[in-house]
Amino acid sequence: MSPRTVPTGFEDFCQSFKHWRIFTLLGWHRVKGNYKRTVLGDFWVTLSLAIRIITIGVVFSFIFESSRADYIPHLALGFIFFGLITANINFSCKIWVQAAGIIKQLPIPLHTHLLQLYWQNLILLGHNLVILPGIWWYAKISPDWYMCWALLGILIVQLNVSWMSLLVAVVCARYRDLAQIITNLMQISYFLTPIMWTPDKILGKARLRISWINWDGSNWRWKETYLELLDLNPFYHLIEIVRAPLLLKPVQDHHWIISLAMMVIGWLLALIVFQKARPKIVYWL
Amino acid sequence: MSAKIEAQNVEIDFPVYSETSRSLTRQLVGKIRNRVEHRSGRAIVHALRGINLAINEGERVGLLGPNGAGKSTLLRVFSLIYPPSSGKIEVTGKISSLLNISLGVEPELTGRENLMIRGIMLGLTPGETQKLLPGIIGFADLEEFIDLPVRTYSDGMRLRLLFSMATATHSDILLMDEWLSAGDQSFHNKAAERMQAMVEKAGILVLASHSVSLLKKTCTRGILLQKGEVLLDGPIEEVCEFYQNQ
Repeated sequence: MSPRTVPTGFEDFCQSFKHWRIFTLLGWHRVKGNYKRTVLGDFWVTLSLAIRIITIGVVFSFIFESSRADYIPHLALGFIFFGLITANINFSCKIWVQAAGIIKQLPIPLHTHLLQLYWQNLILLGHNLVILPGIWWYAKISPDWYMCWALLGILIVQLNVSWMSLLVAVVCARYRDLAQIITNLMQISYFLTPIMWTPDKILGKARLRISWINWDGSNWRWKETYLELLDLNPFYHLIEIVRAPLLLKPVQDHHWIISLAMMVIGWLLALIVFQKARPKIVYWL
Repeated sequence: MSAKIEAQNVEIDFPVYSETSRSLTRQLVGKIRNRVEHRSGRAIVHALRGINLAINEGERVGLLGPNGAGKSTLLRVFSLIYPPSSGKIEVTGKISSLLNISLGVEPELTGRENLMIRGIMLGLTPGETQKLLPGIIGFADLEEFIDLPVRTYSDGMRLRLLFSMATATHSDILLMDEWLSAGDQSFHNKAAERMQAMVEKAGILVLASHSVSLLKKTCTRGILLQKGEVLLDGPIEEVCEFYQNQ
């Protein structure tokens, strides 16, 4: 036994994984708990998702004049994975505030509560992915090893969502108004991300032209490039790296690059903020 | 190393965040006087100041003091929940704390289900918790009610349930807050015996209570807190006398 004290941000983060039993069991329990004594149990989530996909899919495929076999699978996967992202970020706004009772009783690392949230949402993702075979059948594609890239995609999405949630949890614990703002931002992102619409509708039409002068050894020359406004949306890249492989479409490199870069920079930022804020978080609750 | 709690110059400040923080300060200043400071637009309550304590294994400490003295805060400092605003806190040994009667209790679930969840939160595997259940239910005298939702329990029953759970496994340090007084006399006796047994296995007990009889029965050392500071620290009889004579 060695002497311990209140953990710092980094220590809290590292220790949180040791309590894997707590967050996996409690997370599973919470998921089941919400659907106790109902007929379908936890698969109500899946059913309501399927209903939404079918109704919106049929209506909007008429509006966009695209084939249902193309549009509906695109919509379905966008719903599922953007749902994962929003669920994590929205719930982490209030996660410590809601768990204030437990936090002020048992010295469980703060990050463990977030791990529990991620676990719950991954379980729900599993429930929702049950419709994948249906999606594949409807899109007339058969499973292929190429789709395994989506597993890597899901990992990277989760790793990105995790730093965003940590950051959100810290700032919302201090500034309660931010929770509302973030929920609204996520709603707006829903429309700004190609979930209900396909990227081809915007790519090439909403761009910034960037020009600069380049010295090529003998002359000054104008160079220009285009920046797609859509590329500024972080969720666009995250959704693409899971959705494209599952629909047997190629993933452009820049999606991977941006997602990985976001992950590295995001985690550095989140951990630094958490380290600074950790001693005060309990007092904000 | 053996169980130990060591606090050096611990100070705890609570910031009060509120739109009416300025007016709140003015209100509080009247009541708490020099414990509330106005700093950069918000009120800060000095909950604990200059706490220098060492508690060694085998000691059974009783925390006394009027309401608002800082007993619950000090217990939370010992549980490593509140990071000190200044100073240092070091705790050696496994902590088991019972600071609030409704800790993580889900009112809709049964007592049994709550015990299982509690077990998980305390770091036990479901198998280990299952094995402990008969003993816990027996000690708490809740055989008839264990499969009913906890919202149907009285405060006393909830207390028995949680106390029984918290003391079911060995821990080196046991921290308890004053709600223990919600129990009846027979429960006090049972609880006192059990706490004694736990501490005899070379542990530390810190119990905050208003019930002088409970403290005299269970504790060896007394710490009297007032307005966030340690007023008196000594043998329990002495400290209780002093407190009662105030």
